[in-house]
Amino acid sequence: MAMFLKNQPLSRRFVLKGLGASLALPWLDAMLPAVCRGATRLETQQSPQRMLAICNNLGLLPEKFFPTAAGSDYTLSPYLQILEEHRQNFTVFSGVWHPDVDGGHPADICFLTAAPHPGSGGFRNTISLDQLMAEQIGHHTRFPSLTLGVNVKGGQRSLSWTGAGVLIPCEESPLAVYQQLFLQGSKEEVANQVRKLELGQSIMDSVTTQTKALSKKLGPNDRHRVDQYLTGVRDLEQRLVAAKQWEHVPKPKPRSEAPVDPKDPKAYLANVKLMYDMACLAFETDSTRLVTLMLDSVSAPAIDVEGIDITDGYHNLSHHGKSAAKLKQLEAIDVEHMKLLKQLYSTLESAQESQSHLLDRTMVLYGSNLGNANTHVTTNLPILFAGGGFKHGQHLAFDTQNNYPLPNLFVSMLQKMGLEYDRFSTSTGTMRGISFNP
Amino acid sequence: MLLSSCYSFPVGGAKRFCLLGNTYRYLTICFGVICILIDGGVANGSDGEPSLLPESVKNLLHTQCAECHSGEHSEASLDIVGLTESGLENNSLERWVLIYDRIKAGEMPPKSPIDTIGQELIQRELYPQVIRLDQERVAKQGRATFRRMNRLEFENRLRALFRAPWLQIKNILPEDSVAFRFNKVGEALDVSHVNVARYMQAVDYALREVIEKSTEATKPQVKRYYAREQPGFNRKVHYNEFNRSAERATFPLIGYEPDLQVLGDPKHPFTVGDRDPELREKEAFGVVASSYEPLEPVFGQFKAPISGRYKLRFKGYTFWIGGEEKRWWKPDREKTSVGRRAEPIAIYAQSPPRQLRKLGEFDFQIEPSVQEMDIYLLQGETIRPDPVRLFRSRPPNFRNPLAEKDGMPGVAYSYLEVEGPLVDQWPSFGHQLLFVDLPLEKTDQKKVEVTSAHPTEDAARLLERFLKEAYLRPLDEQPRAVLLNVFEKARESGFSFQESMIAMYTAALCSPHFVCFEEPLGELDAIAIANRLGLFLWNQPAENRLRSWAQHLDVKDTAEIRAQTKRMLADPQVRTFVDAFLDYWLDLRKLNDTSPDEVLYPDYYLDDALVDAAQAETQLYLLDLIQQNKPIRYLIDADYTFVNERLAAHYGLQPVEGIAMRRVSLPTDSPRGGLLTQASVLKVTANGTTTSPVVRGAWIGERILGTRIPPPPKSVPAIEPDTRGATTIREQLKLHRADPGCAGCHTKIDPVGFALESFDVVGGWRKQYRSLGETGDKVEGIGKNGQPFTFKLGPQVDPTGELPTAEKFEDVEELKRLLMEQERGLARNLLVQWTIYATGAPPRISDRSEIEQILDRLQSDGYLLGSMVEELVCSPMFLRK
Repeated sequence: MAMFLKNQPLSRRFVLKGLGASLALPWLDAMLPAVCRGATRLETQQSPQRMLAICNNLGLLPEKFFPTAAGSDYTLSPYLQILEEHRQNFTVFSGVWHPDVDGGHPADICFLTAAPHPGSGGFRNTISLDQLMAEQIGHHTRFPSLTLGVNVKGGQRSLSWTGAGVLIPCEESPLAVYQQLFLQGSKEEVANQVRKLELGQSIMDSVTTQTKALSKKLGPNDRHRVDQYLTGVRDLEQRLVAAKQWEHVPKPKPRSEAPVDPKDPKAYLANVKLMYDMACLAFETDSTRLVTLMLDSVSAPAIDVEGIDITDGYHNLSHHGKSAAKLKQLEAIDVEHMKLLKQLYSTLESAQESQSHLLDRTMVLYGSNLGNANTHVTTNLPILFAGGGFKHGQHLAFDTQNNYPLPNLFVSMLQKMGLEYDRFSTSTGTMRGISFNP
Repeated sequence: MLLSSCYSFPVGGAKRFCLLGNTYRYLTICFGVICILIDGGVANGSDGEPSLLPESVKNLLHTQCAECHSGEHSEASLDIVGLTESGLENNSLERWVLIYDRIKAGEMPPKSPIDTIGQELIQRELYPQVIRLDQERVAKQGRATFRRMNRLEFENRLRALFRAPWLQIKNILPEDSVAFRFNKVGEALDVSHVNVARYMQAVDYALREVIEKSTEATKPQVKRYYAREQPGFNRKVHYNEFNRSAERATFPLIGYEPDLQVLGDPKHPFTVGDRDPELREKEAFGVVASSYEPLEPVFGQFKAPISGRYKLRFKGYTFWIGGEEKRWWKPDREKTSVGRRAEPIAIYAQSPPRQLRKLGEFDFQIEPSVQEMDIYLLQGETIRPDPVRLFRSRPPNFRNPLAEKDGMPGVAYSYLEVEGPLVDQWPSFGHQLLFVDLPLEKTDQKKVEVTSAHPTEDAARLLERFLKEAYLRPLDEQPRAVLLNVFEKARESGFSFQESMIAMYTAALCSPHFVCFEEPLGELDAIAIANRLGLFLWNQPAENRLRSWAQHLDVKDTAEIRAQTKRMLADPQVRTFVDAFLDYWLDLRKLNDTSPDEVLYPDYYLDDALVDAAQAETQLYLLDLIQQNKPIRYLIDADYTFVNERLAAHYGLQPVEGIAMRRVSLPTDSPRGGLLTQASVLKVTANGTTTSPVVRGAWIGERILGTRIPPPPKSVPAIEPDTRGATTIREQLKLHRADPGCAGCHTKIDPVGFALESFDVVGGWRKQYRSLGETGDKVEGIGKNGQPFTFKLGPQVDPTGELPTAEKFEDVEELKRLLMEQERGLARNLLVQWTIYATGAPPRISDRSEIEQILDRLQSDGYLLGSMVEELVCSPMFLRK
């Protein structure tokens, strides 16, 4: 194990989860994740809620994915047949979209933000669902959140965006994720982190002193405002203290071997599987409760699929123009995706956690920013929503002409997390037709 | 009376604060009026002896109000009977103001309001007592509460402190809460650990941006980036699996002629390069579509080496492309010729992945020309041009809406020339502010850092100097020692001199001494006045100019304060006030929150340039009203406005050419002129698909006319306009308005909205609604997205109405004539809005006489806007805390 460490310094991306602006600062980057960590990290939650959000930015063939009948008696579509054993574990949506998120491919970075018009001039993204959650619950775990990707060039796209509208670059190496989850830092690295956090504390100390001195000079009403400032500074300071403690808490023991990163981008599907595994490991060890994963199919070459010869780039195949040969290959890829998803559901379901299993405590959102990659439309998105303690086993069919806002599901998810939000981006309420398990 | 009370404020929509008990208290009274009031809360306590209420007032209130407002379950939790027992005391002040206002407005009790005799009694016996209480409160804690900077002020402050106008700070900080409509009110500008962390992030970013990173100045360069050498352009020449249409390709050109060699041979180099400078000068790449996925050419080989000032020069021209033989609307890349008109170009800075920042705009002419921009770039940004008038092809089977039988327009780029970074001093001003003359040296890790031979002495000396610039007021000895301690501790744990200094400066700039404003109770001192002026008129705390002015200011010298105000209003920086004020007053910050429906309004859909022009119109117009000192009636109507080519066409005015905004006279029969009929206002009051007279009427009433509009009762669902064309919203409302319970408010709210039904969701003039129904006339046309129109023309618009004063109008022009007569109400409303914006608190009940006196002084000239600003800053509301 130690051999990994030698040449694998702590990835800055990892340390920066939560508020990951592009920071070139030696001490601030050590302390910023502390913002998402509380002093109460030892607090044990009886049934922690988690979220795994996955966007395949080329989507799935709509005619094979969407079931026709609505409700709980619906007939599984060819793709959903593959998930049959989990029928009661998921809900399939049709007729949903992110309102005004148009522009085709650029819309993938809005999958979890729902910020309108990603293709237009002056566009700035807004906070993503996972980061909004991380601001509130991130402090319960070592990592406030994990931002992962497959085939994303240089990690420069992802589903996770901070409240400042800044991209959190994704981690593309399953091995790097594994190392972060399980490998202890060297003494030197730990000492270095602690030193930086202490500098942050020293800054907060000085602000505290200045604030107190100011407070004495003011009248009662104004003092009330200054006291609020003081509380803000102290809260941050406490989070720094907590972050420092994390540095000394041993990481969990791995239950599986370290993965071997597939080097070839053609091994796209193998990589997807490994990232699913890493997400499960992260949840099992309660290293984080929030994971996002961008499957950058657009940048994938002609990929390896067992039993069929894929002759064309994935993106190219998606523009099938109804060519039978292309459709056949695309369908083969889609089927592999559904099989991997089935495995993911099963792995989560088989992981026991205090009288329940992980699937029941993990909201798994799978979908795409494209309704139909052939025509680039961003309406009628394919969306599968599994686990997380919701009542599933149904096809929630909305108007395919006049779509229903998907951000409403995000509001329901926030509420299931126990967070008091009544809106997210362009939501109009909570998701109609879906409810929590009693 | 249309302009009833101007002294009440709605609670902002979704953000109904839950700070009950300490800062805010809600009082809901009959028919669901919600008022939000600032309350002294805990801090205020119940100091001072309560004074007894006169028996006569008590009796009146008992007989009239007890039915609903008595005991624990009072309407709106307002227990008037209980209040009368405890008498008038400081912590019930807000409730007494509310009771007084509702009775005076003749609204309570709702069914048979208190009569004139009762009202006179209230005025005589209750009013003076309430005023006394209010004055006591103000004497103790002032009108305004201690506050921090909002994020725009913070950005402006750091930019001014370091003289680094490119710093992008606003987006690092969380969005500010709003109270009384503005982001300037202490009670709403909360601070949590998230804010403190973001301050650290923002400050650290700013410090590192201004600290020099090399031992000598980066030499400014002049370099050309030929379009022919940019992968962003030449990748799009040859067709591939993803693209087989010329609309989504680039056109290799030599002058106006097609470059057949490049076009015909995929192996042919894209440029002659240095070999033939003359030919190279003629090489270009053209497009027939604006920048949008999937055709988004960038000058990607240029990336700003450091943040700072640059000059960009774009060479380009316009051309014409003939169509294919049969499908004349499909461009044939071999049939190019000289252009027929100028084309507007917007320039964006782009950083990965596709985050865009607009830098400016200009026109390319038929003849090749070089257009220069003087702008600030951030390190790593690249340049993306967008020919905004051209179409944005969306699948399937798109068709260029600008295509004519013999072809279509195109834009050609020759090169981008960059000059920069333009450094006016080295080391930068900001660097010198932090380190004065300390040397920059290479460290062992090949980085460049500031070093010091006497770290402790240097730190103390530099801090002293820095704080003088950064803080408004001198700092006591002890907090200075604490800051130096940050430096020492950092050094002790092994950080370099520069890193330790950054830590110390970060501590200094995250301190409330920097982030917040301290104002003395009672009369403000000179620096506090300067600071208020800066925050009001330049949207930033007092910077150098204002500080040196304050050094010699006698605070009693209102003539000098007035003179300074005049100077500030004349300064170009006053635009920051106008923009920031409009962002909140008229919600211009939300202009892009909804977009025109792609099916109903394909002619507006994806048209960024239209929205940009609409926003600029309103900003330029208000700026003009203030700087040219125009009377208040100009809010309602004027014989001029500001447009560019796109907006003039949108308004159906005489065509003008080019993207630059300019002042134009309006013909007498134009409904334009004034705020009400500006596209920005009409867009922000619609939802992109439909308009509602109720929404627009309430919005305009509250913001521009100063009408008090109660929020809708919870039990009644909002009316949803019908897009199928069966009924108009007016017909739907008719039923609603027939109910006497609803009519009371709707006769106040709707009339203005009825007249504005003549304008669609982006403010285009309409006589008929558009519909998605089966019936109705079809309209031929192709949208900006290349898709044919499918909407129909639906029912006729009925813009007639009647004001609560029983004055009738036929259309928006008649309405405007009626509203222009309401000068004093309009002026009162704007003065109230400015008071909140400038002082961080709404006028109190004891300020009302001051407001009326100011209005009296302004009346004879028709309430001039510039004079109103001057009157406000010379009033005690502004000059006392």
